[in-house]
Parts: sequence; structure tokens; C-alpha cells
Amino acid sequence: MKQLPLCSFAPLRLCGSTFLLLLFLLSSCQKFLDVKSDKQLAVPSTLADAQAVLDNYGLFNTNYSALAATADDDYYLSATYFNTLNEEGRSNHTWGAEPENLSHWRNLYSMVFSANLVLEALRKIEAPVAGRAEWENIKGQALFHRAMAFYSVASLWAAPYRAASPGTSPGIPLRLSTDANVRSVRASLPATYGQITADLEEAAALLPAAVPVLSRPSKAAAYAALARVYLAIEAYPEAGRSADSSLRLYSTLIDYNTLNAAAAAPFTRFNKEVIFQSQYLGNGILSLGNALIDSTLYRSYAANDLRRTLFFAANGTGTVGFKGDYSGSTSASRFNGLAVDEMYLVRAEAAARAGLTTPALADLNTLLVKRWKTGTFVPYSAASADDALQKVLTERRKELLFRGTRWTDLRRLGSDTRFAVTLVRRLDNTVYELPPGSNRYVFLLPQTVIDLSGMAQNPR
Amino acid sequence: MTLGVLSALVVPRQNASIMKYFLLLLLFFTVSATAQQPVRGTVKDPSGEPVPGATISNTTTTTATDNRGAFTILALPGDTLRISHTGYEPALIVIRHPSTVLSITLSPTEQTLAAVTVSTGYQSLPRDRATGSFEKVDSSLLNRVVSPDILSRLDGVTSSLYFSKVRGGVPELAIRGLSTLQSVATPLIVVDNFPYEGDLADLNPADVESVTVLKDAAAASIWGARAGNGVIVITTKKGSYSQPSRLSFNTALTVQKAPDLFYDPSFLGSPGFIEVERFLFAKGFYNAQLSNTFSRPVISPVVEILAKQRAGTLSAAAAEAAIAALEGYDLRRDQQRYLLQNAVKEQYGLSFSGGAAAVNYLLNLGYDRIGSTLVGNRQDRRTLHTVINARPAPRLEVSLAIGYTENSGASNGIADLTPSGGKSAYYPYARLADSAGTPLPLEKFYRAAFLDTAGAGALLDWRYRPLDELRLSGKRNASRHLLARLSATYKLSKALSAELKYGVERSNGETRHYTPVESFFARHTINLYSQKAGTAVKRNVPYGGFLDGSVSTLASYALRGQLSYNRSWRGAHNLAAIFGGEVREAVNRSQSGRTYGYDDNMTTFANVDYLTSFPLWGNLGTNSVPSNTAFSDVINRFVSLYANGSYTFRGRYTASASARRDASNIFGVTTNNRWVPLWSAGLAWNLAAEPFYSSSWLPVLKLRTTWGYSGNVSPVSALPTIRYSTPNTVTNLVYARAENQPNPSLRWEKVGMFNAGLDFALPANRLVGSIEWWQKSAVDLLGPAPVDPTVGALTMTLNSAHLRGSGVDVKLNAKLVDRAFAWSAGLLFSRVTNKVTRYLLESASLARLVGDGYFITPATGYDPYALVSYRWGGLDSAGAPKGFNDGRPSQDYSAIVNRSTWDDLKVHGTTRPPLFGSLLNTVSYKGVSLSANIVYKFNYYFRRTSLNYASLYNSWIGHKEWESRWQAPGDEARTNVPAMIYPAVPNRDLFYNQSEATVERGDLIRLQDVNLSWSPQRLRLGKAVVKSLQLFAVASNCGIIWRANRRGLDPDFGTGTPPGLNLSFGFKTTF
Repeated sequence: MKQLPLCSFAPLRLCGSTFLLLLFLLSSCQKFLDVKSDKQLAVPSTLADAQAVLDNYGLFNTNYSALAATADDDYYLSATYFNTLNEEGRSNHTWGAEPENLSHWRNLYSMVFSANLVLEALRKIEAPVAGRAEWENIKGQALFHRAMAFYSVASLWAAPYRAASPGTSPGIPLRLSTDANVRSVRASLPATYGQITADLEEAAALLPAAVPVLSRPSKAAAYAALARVYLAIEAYPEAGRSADSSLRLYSTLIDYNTLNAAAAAPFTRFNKEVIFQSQYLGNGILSLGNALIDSTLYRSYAANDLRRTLFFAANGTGTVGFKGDYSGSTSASRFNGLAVDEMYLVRAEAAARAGLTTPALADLNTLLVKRWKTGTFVPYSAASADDALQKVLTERRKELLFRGTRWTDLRRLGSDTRFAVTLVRRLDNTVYELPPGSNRYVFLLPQTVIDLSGMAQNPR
Repeated sequence: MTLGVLSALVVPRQNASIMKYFLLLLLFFTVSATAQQPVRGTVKDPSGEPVPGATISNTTTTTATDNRGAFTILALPGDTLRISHTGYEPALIVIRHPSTVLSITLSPTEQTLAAVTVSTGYQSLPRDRATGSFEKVDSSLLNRVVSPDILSRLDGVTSSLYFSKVRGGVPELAIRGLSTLQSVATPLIVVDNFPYEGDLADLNPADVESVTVLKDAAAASIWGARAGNGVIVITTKKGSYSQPSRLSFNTALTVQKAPDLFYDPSFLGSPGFIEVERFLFAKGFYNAQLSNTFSRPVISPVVEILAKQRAGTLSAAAAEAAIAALEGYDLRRDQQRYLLQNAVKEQYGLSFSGGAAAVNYLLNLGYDRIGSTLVGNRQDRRTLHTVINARPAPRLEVSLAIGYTENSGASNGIADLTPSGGKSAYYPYARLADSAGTPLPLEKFYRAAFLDTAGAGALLDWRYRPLDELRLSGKRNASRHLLARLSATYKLSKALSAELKYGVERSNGETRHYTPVESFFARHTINLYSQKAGTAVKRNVPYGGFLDGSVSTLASYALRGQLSYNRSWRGAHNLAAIFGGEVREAVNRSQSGRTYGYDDNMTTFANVDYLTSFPLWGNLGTNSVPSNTAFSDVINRFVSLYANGSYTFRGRYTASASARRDASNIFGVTTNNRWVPLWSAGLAWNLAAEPFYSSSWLPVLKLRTTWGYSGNVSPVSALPTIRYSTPNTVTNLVYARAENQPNPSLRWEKVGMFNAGLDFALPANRLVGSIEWWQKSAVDLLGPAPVDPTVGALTMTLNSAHLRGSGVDVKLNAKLVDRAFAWSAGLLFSRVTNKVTRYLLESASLARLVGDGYFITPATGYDPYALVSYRWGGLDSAGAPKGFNDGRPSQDYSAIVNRSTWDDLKVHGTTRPPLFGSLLNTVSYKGVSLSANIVYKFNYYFRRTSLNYASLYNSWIGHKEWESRWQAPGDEARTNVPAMIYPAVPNRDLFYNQSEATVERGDLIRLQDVNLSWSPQRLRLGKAVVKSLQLFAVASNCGIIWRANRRGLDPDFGTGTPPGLNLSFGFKTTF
């Protein structure tokens, strides 16, 4: 009955068929209605569908929040430019009271949604024996992307977390399914980071060593992400181990002597130091002409340090702006992905904190020799592990500009008197300060989210 | 009694006429002339249906027609026969040749309710047996105005049908208000029995016989799941049986005045704009833009002059002189002169028709040249419409109708001039041409100073001259549309007939946009993708023009089988029923793409690297070359089963019922949910037919009432759906995007409607009228409900709302004077109210309700098009606006805008008039007829445009009211326009823009159109017999007679500019 000619719908042929046959066909031929209405639509049900969802570069690789980068102290704004910003921009820049930042929250959670969509589809897809590796790869990718989104949310809207003293501040809502009827509740901080690290550990086990495009996460990327997350929660031994795992898989550094400092964008997207490519969403504040580099920071680059010319360009106002973006961008959308340089710095910091001065300095020097003009770099030495740590952290700030890592560093280092600083913005005659450990290191949840979910707001 | 209108008078005498016709039909009928006593003939109605029971009488005898409408009567040459039947105008026939078989067509009595048949697209039913709400617009009303499209002709002549033009573009139609919030809200359009899938612009109004609007559930429910918004049934013209050949020709010339750009108040003249620029310059607003060497934003000429003066490269005197020169210019004058024109539209139509006893035909040819008020735009349309009906066997009638339309046109006009790069409009002193008419460049995308020097001679000219673009751009479109309907009806018995209908609709259209290398867009793109390679320039987009093309096709098939039963028995009972099934498929496909380096003379082109991300010239970023390739392929399939029946007892009581089930292949719905059953029922009581009823002053009186459901097809998927997209240019990977959040509880929208109507008429139809009261309840409406953004979306489509509507339709036609001088008036009055009765997901933020009311913002208890404002507290002594927060006066604009409570808001009413209608007066004397349609709309509101400083500073959108802004203490007494401050506070602007201060009452009375026509009674042009001739002149867009707002605004066109006056002249003639 289901093979009746109506299924192929040849209306001309049907003209001759009798009325009764027609009525019979109407009620019997289900296949006629099973044809997909729009060829571009699908309910994700194959590995190819799942991979296609994960290959949404616009969503998973360019949708991160610029909030961390706009809040840090590597740059400042002119008062004239500051006045042209809208209220949200001005409030964010001065760690103000009521930025809404709804799109930032939504963008990160739409990554979570799509990752969950894939994870749910995978549960229904029987992995064929031959396709097992692909199934695992896709699962690893989905876990990786979800963890990265959770981590981004946690570093903006949840208090800094130290495994040693967890405290009671809430974490973030951990949405693990696509079901919109599940109410959003803030998990505890340990649960938040537990989920992130567990997802990343699992991803590291599932992901392949090699990927066709650096927009897809690899095994090295999962370890690198673990290194970043463990560092942020001051789990230094784990951070060091993860960085080491990543570096064992991939450790190529660019020799900056091979780059053209005159270029508008000296680095290219997918350059050979990149482990995983991602960017945060453009924000005019961070463009070359608007984000003016802190002059003390700029002067800290020695004359022979190639980063001085590769990272910075005069912007026509007598100051310098940043052009050393690792995604080759000349716009305000900037690289916040994972790269080999960060891994060397994490491993060095972990070593220094463990009192292992020599390996710490070895990593630092391995990195820096590639950053200086050939033959000019004098390797660092340190009087103590503490001295080594100081040097690693200084170089960390100078290396990872505009990647958003400075914000998480400020958050975790705020509790360490050796490194705590008060951030200051001077605009016209107003001075805005952000002392270490301030509540304002944690952004307020968008009011819309509070209204619609009933979750607790962060204290002010 | 009329004599002379009857076609039977022109009896074919001696000739055999052969009509060779479009595809296959060849027909003849012969009548010989020899004198004999018995006279035979048949009596038919205009549609060719036999009229049984008609009385035929001459001076001596009387007889009646049989079931096939045939009669025989004894008569002598010179006798006069009188043919009469209730519901028809009696006819008189003079017998000249008694051997001639007479074919008499009776015209229905004008405006008699009983004579009207209405078409639902499934059946034609006599109005007196209808229980539902039908509104028929016949060709005389449709042809009162001249327009290239059919739908706009319904505006102002159909009760309860509202045309909303506030959003610009194609008007949105609403029958009896709103029935849905998010699904397709326009009525279903049916052309010749099947839903129309193509572009209605392809339908020539000259081919339309009548339009029936199905307003209530009983009328529309036969269309089931797509009838929730009502149905508009268009019936095209066809020939009549036993009708002599007829040739008619019509033509019309229309001139439409260009819209008046000076109407739009959101424009700030040059002196004011320059003052703002000086103010901002002094504040340093432009410093960052002037020193910007990475994105090179557009800088206005005045700011450039001020910057040069500050830098010392221009003397103060020279700067002032240059600025003073600019103050005198007004861009609108140039636009009006160079970009707009009076549009000329020509229409020509030729029609042949005729019919013998067993076959009839109609062939309409049309040609339209549709000019535009935009210089550079035009459309040509050629249409063919042909119908053949034949009765090859006594029980069989077959019909073939073919409509074919060809369109071609160009669309190179410049409607919007924008500099881009964050600027939405040009500075008012921009000029399109110098005094000699030479095109001048305007800033576009990047700063002019940069573009002039960027290439240092290595690049193509990088400036934008709109007038050159007008000349160079080659954007053409062409389309073909074919509509074919084939049907066969076979009478199985006296009461039962079977019908098979097959409909095909195919169209294909293409656009071809050739951008020659001389045009700005080609030069700009080539320059942008150029790279320095040593001393040479490497072009990643090759030198040459662009050819953008798109092709779209539609193929739709429908097949319907139907059984119809119609039987009367014992003179007391009548049962009419239909039962049928239908399958339909519509396939829409399209593809588009661009070819680079195209040379139109040689058809040569170049290959391009789409993958590499190239650095753009002058450090303007990096990008890959856009390929613009896209495909789409959509198939919609429907299967439906339906039944509809009515039973009438003694012509007094009618009960009707209908039921229908629809299924479609809509995506993301599980099989069980694919079928939606819908039904309706109705009762009618023809009071005037009751024995006890004896009113002679009200001979027609009928009550009817119906209840039923129709539906709306859900546009959203219940399952999590992904949509595949074009490959990402960075990764070159095909990817898919999540389309919606899963929602397993999604249900079909359902619209229930109750309708009660009263039809009445005074004797001789001096007054004919109907009054209807309806109530509508739409449940489970899908709406964009705000959800916790943590689920990954800001809104989700849920069955979130219930909507209740009610209203009254009144229609009155009066013959006020009915002599040689005649005056008739038609009054339409509609009251429509809509209210959201339940909205499940009220947002905590009330700010979303505030706006211009043109988009649906559901809130329980209010009209979906409610206009909501922030309460306005006037200006303070510093010119800052005062509002309310938590019910208390506040100037915390962020709080006002983000955390409004009901106490801080004012609900004005709706932006869709709840009271509207028209008054059509016609006076005629000796073939001269003058009619004027006056349209009225009451009790609604609109938000006018107002000044927004942030937009003025950043996007160059000015507003005339800047001139009346607060400037000094005390001004707050005379103005509501806030003071100019720097930096702009966007929430302060937003609060003012969306406050009570910018709301106006919309009420208006408009002269919709005026028609003057002259039909000479007798006319002879040489030897040609002119049967009828009509000359006419029509004026439309005549303007507003009265309006409630004092600012001269036309609320019907939203923030847009109303179209200019339309004047048409033409004639129709029949030979």
C-alpha cells in the first residue's frame, strides 16, 4: 500500500485515476507527506549532521565575550572616545553598576545549547564500529565547546574560585540538556568547575591528535583548555601537568624574526603557534585606534624585543594600539583561543610555584628567545623560585595581550599581596578604581536573566 | 422590463460561424431561416445554466421551460414573447423568423439577494441558501479604479477588510482583524478554485470577474487549516453559452505624481545640521574619527573643513565661506529632481468571447507598461487569459482555462541614499549634481580624503556618484507565469454529479544584475581587494564587471475529486452537499550567484579565489571574496478531505455543516500531529418566506448564524531543527545552525468564530443591507515568548496566547434617487476589536510593549497592536525630559527604559483603526456617472517620528523638530523637544522618542478615489457597430479631507511618505 504511485506524485498520470482511487490514496499514502519540506532543514540524526552543527564557526569560534578584555588594565580610552560610547559600554569600562550585557550571556549559552543538541543526538546515533572514532571525536568536540562556554561564563559572572578555599558564592547555571523547561539554577562553584574540568578531561580522551582545521578542537586543545582552567582556579600542579600534556602533543613556536613588522596584521589566522582558533565578538573599544596601550606596559618591551613592533602600531594620536592579534584580525574581534606560547607560560608558572626554578626558567627562555631579535636575547636567570614566578607573570602579561587572560589573572592574583593591584581609570576629572578582591570583579547577571529565571544576583 | 439588452435579439441569421480557437476547439452552429409556426428556444442564465420553469407568453398562449430550459410556443412573425422568472429581469423578444431557435439569456435581477451566487472555490452556492458570511465584489466595483494589481482594488469597497500600509512595501491585509500573532497573517488567496502560489502581480485585474471574501468560519472552513485569516476567492472571467461573438477593447493611461520628499519631518535642513556639527566638533566628538587610520570612517564635508581650519591649512574666512556655500543646499531638491519622476502607466486590453449551445470561449490579451516614480524602474507585463467551456456530451461539461503572464522590467532606481559605515542618511547639504548637471561624488563607505589618495594612482577611481550609477546599473528582471485549470463535471444522475479538477501553476523568474566595471560597486570591490605587490598592484578581484544572477522556479500541482449532490423533493426539501478530497504540491526552487570579471560585450569572465582571506587595501581588514552563491529548495504538500452540506426546508430554514481534515508535510511535526480536523455549522431562517410574514415594506428579511473553526499552519517545528548553510569562508566547511529550541508540546493554532447576520431589503431594492455581528476566539496562538536567555535564546515560539475579537459589519446600498437622474449610495461600516485574553509568558520587562505599535506585542488585556508609551512629565528647567519610575517622577532614564511598571506607562489604544469603512456615492444622468469613495478610519493612534540626538550625532538622522528644541529656560513651556546635550544619552532619547509626547490620534477621512465616466447610449463609428463605449477618468490617492493630527501627517503610511496623486484616463468599448 505504501508503494502506490502517488508517492512519487505524478499528477498527470493521476488524471485518469478514478475518484474513489483518489480518496483511497489520500488516506493511505503516508510517504507523500514524509518528504522534507525544506531541503536545508534536518533534525540532527546523523554524525554528519552533528559535525555540521559543530562546524558553525560563527557560533563556536567567534562568539566569545569581549567583556574580560574590555575590563582589564592593558589599555585605556580617551575621554572623548569614552563619551561616544553608549551607557552599557561606559558602565562596563568603568566596572559600573548596571550593565545588562544580555547578548554576551545569550551568545555563550547558545554555544551550550548547540553543544547539548549534538550530545543528545549522539545518544540516539548508534556508533558504527567503523565510525567509532568519528563518534568519539564529535562527542569530544561538543564537550570541549560546552566546557569553554561554561568557563567563559564562570570567569565573568561567578566569583574567583580556589579549590583550596571554595567559599559559598554561587557558580553558574550548568545547562546539560536542550530542554527549555528545565529551570536554570546556579550550581555551586565547585560543581561549576568540576563540570568544566570533567568535560575537558573526557574531551581530551576522545579528541584526535590531528584536526583538519584549527577551528576544530584537538587533543592538544583539550589539554591546553585544562591548563587554562586549572590555572584560573589555582590548581597549579594540574595546570602544569595539562600544559605539559598539550606541549608534548604540539609545541611549535613562531620565530618572530620571520615576521613582517610593517604589516597591518603581522600574524595570520591559523598560524602555526595556534592550537585552537577562537575570537571574541568585536567591540569597537578594543580596536587599534581606540584602545590606547598603557604607556608603562609599552615601555616594558625592550628595544630588541620584537613584540614592540609586531604587537603595536602608532594610531595617529601619539599613542600606540594593538595589532598583534593571533587570528590575523585588524578589527576589534580578537583572538582568545589557545596557543603554544600560553602553554609554555602555564608550565613555567606551575614549575615556579612548585619551587622548580630551573624548569620554569627553561620554559620562559624557550619562549622568549623566539620573541627577541636573533642573537640579542640574554636568557633570564632567577635568584629564587619566587623571583622566577615574578618574571614568568610579567612575561605572561606582555605575551598574552588582549586575549582575555589578563582578567582571570587579575581575579586570581588579587588575593596574593605580591601581585595584587588596584585598577584605575581616569576619564575627564573622574577617577574609577577597582581594588583587588572587589565584588565588581564579578559582573552582574543580566537583569532579564534574573527576571525570567529567578536566579540570585551577584552582590554589589 | 427592459428591451434591447438581450443578446437573443441579435439572432444569428444565415451564417455558419467557425471559430478556430487556441488549442483544439472548433465549433459551429448553423441556423437556417424559413418561416414556420412553432417557435423553439432555450432560456439560460448568464453562466449558461438552463433556467427551468420560466414563463413564456405571447398574446394568446403561455408555456414554461422544461428542466433543460427548453420551450416550444406557437407564434407568428412579429409577435412579442415575454419571458419571465422570479429573480430575473423579464425579457421581451420580437419574433422575426419563427424557424430560428431562440437562445435567451436572462439577467438576474439587480441587487436581489436571492439572485447572487457566491463562490467558495469548492462550489458556487446561491446566497439565499448560504448561512455564512460572504462578501462579493463584482467587476463593476473592481473596475471603478485603475491599478495594475487586483488586491488594491478591494481597498475601501470591502467591509471588514483592512489594508495596513504602515510598514511600507506590500500592504498587509486583515479580514476581521487579527487571528494569529506570529504565523502568516494574510488571508488565503484562491484563484479559480485553487490556492494561488505565485505573485499576485501576475494577475491582470482585467481578467477578474469577481472577488468573494469569505469572512466567517462557515464560509472559510472549507479551506481548513489555511483559512484562519479568512479567504479571498478570485474568479476569473469566462465565456457564456449561446452568446454571439464579442470583441472589446479597453485602455487606460495613468499618471502618478512623484512622492513629496519634503513631507518627511525626519530631516534636518543644512543650517541646523551644520550647527550641530560645529557643536560636536567643538566637543571633540570627531577627533577619534579624524585620526582614525584603520577603518577610515566617513567624514562629512563640514567636519573636514573645520578640521582643516583647526589644523591651520585653511583660513577661518575660507572655511566660513565654504560652509556658508554648503548651507544653501538641500539634498531633497536634488533627489526630487534627479531620482524621482511622475510615473506613467499604460494599460491595454483586448477581449474576444462568444459561445454556442455547447461551447463557449473567452480570450483576453493584456499589455501593461508600468512606469515607476523612481527614475530607472519600470515593468512591462503581457498577459493572456483564455477559457474554453464545452459540453461534449449531455451529461459532461469540460473546461480549460489558461492564464499566461510575461513580465520584464528594470529596477535601477535609487530609493535610499546611504553612506553606509554606520551612517543611515546623508548630510542635508549633499549634492547629486553641480549647477551644470554634472554628477557629483558623495561620501560612501570610507572617508573621501582617504579614497582620493589611497591608491596613489594605482587604483581605480574610488568615488561614488549616484547619478552615474543610475546610468550604469543594469538590473533587469523577467518572469513567466502559467496558470492552467482543467475540470470535468459529469452528471451521474439528476441529483448527483462528479467533478475532477486539476490545476497547474508554473512560474520562473530571473534577475540579472550587471554591474559594469565603471560603476562604483565594481570599482570599490576591485580596489578593496587589491594588494600592493612591489610597485605593481595585484587584483584579487579581477578587473571587470560583476554579473549577479538569480533564478527561481515554482511548480505547483493540485488535483481534486468531488461528488456533488443537489436534490429538491416534494417542493419542500432541498439537500445540497459536496464531498471530496484533494492533493496539492508546490515546489519552490531558487539559486543565485555572482560572476566576477564579466564583460557583457564578450561574455567573458574570470575565476576568483573564494577561499583565501585577503588583506584589504589600506589596512581596512581582511576578507575573502564573497561568492554570493545560494540555493533553496522547498516542497509543500497537502492532503485534504472535506465535506460540506446544507438542507433547506420550504425555502425557510437552512441548516449547514462542514468538516475538513488537512495534513501537510510541514517539518518537525510528528505524524500524529500532521492531521488537523476542523468543522463548522450554521443555521439560516428566511423570515420573509414564512406564511405569517406579510410585511410589504420589507420584502426581504433573513437571519443567519454560524459557528466553526478554521486554522493556521504552524511555521515552527516541534523538534530541534538545524538548517544547513553555505560553506563558511574561513573554514570552507559546510555547517548547520540550530534553528529552534525543541518544543514537544507545540499545537496547531485554532480560530473559532461565531457569526450572526441579518439581511434585508426594501421594495424595489431601494435599500438593501446586511448587518453582521461576529465574535472570534483564537486559541493556542504561537507567539515569541521571552524565555530565560540561559536556554540559548532570547525568545521561543510557544502556544502562548489567546486572542478574542469581535466586531460588526454593516453594509447598506441605497437608491436615493432612481430616475433619469440617479443617485445611489453604498455605506460600509466595520468595527473590529481584538484583545489578547491570555498571554502565558508575560515578561517582567514592560519596556518591550513600548514602541510604535506596528508590530505585535502581546499583553493580556490589550490589543495586539496596542500603542504603549512612557508617561511624559514634560521638560525640566534645563530642557531634560521628565518621566516616571515606580509611579514617581524620575529622570533616571536607564531605570525608566529598563524597569518600567504599569504606573509608568500609558496605553493609548491601537494603531489599527477599530472603526473604519467607506461611503460610496454615485450620481448618474444619461450615461454620465460620477462616483466618489470616501474612506474613514476612527479611534486609533500612531507614533510620529521625533528627534534622537544619538542618531543625529552618530548616524546623521536628523529631524525637523530640532529647530523647536529646548534652548533656554522657559522653553519648556512651549516645547517637548529635549535640549541638545553632549554626550548624547541614548536612553534619554529613547524615552523621549517613545513617550506620550510623540503620539498622535490617527483618525481621518480620506477621499479614496473619484470616478467620472460617460457611456453614450447609441454610437456608430463608420460601419463598425459599437455595442458599448465607456470613457472614464479616475483620480486616486486624492488625499485627506480631515485628519485629527495637526502636523499634516498621513498615519496610514507610518513613517513613510504617502504616494502622489494618481490620475487615469481611458475607455472601454465593445463591438
